Amino acid sequence: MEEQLTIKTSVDQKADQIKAILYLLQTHTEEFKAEIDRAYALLKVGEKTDLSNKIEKIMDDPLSNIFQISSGVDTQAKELIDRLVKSFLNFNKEIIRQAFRTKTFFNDLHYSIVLREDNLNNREKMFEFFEKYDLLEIADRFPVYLQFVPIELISKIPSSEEIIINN
Amino acid sequence: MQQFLDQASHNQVFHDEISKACSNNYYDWKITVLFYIAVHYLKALAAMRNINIGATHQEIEKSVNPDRPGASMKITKTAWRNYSQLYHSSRNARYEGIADIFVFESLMQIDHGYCLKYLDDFKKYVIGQGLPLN
Repeated sequence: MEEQLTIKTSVDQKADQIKAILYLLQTHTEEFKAEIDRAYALLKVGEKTDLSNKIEKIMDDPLSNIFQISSGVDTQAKELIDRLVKSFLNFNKEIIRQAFRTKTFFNDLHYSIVLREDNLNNREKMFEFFEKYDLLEIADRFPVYLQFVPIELISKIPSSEEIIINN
Repeated sequence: MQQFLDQASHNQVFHDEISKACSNNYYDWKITVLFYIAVHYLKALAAMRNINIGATHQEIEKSVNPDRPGASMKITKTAWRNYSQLYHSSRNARYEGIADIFVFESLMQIDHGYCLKYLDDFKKYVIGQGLPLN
């Protein structure tokens, strides 16, 4: 009975995470659609929005804009991966004491993790992230670093944010 | 096959020598060397079986990861985990984002202890697969 409950809780958590990601995508899509509609309507009366200006710039100078688009795509991809890592960390909250996004010069996907107990089993659970992530083509382009840190050293590692673990 | 075994042995000797000579530092290098010993073991295993698993980490990963459909030389899940943990530890060891060298060395020292275990288990696996190691 207890095992069934645990399995159910785990399934519920996964479903909640999927819902959260879908909600995020839906929100982004709706906002973007609204922006397109506004740009289209205003262009009919001769006004240009930021989006229209961006499109015009791309048409005028496609090469220089490719780099900007690429940079924007990279930022969005990193944000999405960051969410995946945070979901994964929350999924393993029972073995994590604290987790931080490390502050790095290039805003890398580097995380400093304090395990409740630093041992082979708990490290293996954390490395399970890579069993899925390394199968994705984006893994080479956007490497993720999970660095285990003892509690006494965590304050010496600069962080950009503490990841809230929902206990 | 022998050339890869020789390279693995060469790296093992190097690791043991720097561990003796510099027992309290250079853990980042020690971890990196341990990973490359595992790489040479895999290449030796592949050569023994006449399978081309490639040269880069990406090529090797695609060839041996048991979760990859069509991988040409799948290894067991446990062996893959040991190899993958060595790889990710060595990547952390080569990461230059942690500026405080004392903190970095301390983290690497702990990771090094785990990497010794990963490599030891990985070595047992390749020996079990028939690789002639001492």
